[in-house]
Amino acid sequence: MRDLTFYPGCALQSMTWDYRESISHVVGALGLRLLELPDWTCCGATAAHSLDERMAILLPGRNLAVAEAEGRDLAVACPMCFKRLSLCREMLRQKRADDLWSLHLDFSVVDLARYLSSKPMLQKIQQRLRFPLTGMKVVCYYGCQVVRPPKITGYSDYENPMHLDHLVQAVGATPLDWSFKGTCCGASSGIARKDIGLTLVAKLLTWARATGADAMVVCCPLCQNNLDLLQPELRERHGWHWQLPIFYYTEILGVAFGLQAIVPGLKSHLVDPQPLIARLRQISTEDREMIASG
Amino acid sequence: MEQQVQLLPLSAGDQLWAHAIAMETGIQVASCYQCLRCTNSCPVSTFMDIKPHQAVRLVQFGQREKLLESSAVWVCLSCEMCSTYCPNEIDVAGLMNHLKNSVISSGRKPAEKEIALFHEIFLDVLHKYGRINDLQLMQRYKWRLLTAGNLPPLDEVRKDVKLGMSLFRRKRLRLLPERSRAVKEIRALLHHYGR
Repeated sequence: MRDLTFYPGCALQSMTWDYRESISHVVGALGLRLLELPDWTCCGATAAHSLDERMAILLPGRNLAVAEAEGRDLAVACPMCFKRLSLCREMLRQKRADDLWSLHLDFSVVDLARYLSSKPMLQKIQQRLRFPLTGMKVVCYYGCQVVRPPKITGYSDYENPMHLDHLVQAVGATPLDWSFKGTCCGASSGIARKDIGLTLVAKLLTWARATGADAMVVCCPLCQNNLDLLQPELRERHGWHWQLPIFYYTEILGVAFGLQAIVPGLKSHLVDPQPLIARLRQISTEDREMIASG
Repeated sequence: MEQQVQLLPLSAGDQLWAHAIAMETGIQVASCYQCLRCTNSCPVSTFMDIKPHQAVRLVQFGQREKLLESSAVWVCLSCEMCSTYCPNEIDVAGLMNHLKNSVISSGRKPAEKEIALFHEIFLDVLHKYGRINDLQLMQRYKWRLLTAGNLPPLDEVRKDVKLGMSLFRRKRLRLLPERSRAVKEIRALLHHYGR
């Protein structure tokens, strides 16, 4: 198993520590080593390129330079960071931006979710399975940054990405087909233009529910926050009598591996995913007993 | 119904504008034949005063002022649906972004003050710590809105406080911002390149 350099990104350091914790426990369980990029800084997210396009090269460029010195491929967990780093790498490779660091770019920027969904990793995941999530119906939501634009992200299946679907399938859950895998959740507009954020999130949640999902599985901290944190307000506004747990794919893996260490992270969600997990566990124990009793 | 956009008189510079954009960014608006695929794929086009396909058309027509005053460029989420699905490979999202940059670099007032302010505060926090801390970002943003005289409705404040408390209880708001040791290097880099 090769080691990877790991770029956590700011979101995972502060608000979405649950994602980071679940990553560290799950990759540990899979025998994979992620070594944090030393002295990494913010990738600039949307703000840098919106106000000053040069910053959108300078910030990720410096991180790429540190990564290159580390001499391993760079695994990125946050889709926004993945896109910004990949885009910068491509701009430098094509000499469309000044390369202050004289980079060779002889390493890859890897999307962690896609890395974990490679065939050998899926096999490892199945071997590590303790509590199959049989009977759990989910929709996988990829958001925009990790799939588009395909020239940068390298996804040929950007119309209908499948890697998260494969991951949840590997642990026994049923991924449902739906039409909104790559539709934007509104990103940071949930703050400065709440009307936009609420509209987009409401659409995603109602469609996920109409599709028959028990939960949504995501790979982006910003999507998770929008979909989870806006639910109380949406319930109040629209009189919804339902809610939908929003899991990171790593949390789904952690639950299926039976890792107790991820429970505090799960508890930090606004929509508590634990009743759903408890229900599934109960069903699977009953199943087992039924099989045992013939 | 397609809304009508009133065209403004053109200066010589405006007429060369599309060409200048092509030179600077590689975005060739001339290949647009108004198929509307960008607007139809856009998740926020209903919130835009000028729709993505209209924005491309207005660049063709040299309508610089019109676009730099529009709120659409700020409403754009950079989700890249438009650029991905354009049959002529026009980077519409890139165009919107380039327009945002032009609003700032030309010293104009952004039409969506709050969105621009949010980005600005984001960069302030980045400049100070090298990394973003959500609590710092939100506090500074709300404070700037308040001091600029935007008094939020009481109901909004109540909702924010309630959400803040439940996030705090869940340890999702970190009181102490994390600083990257590279923050000085970042500042020097940004300073050198004009920020």
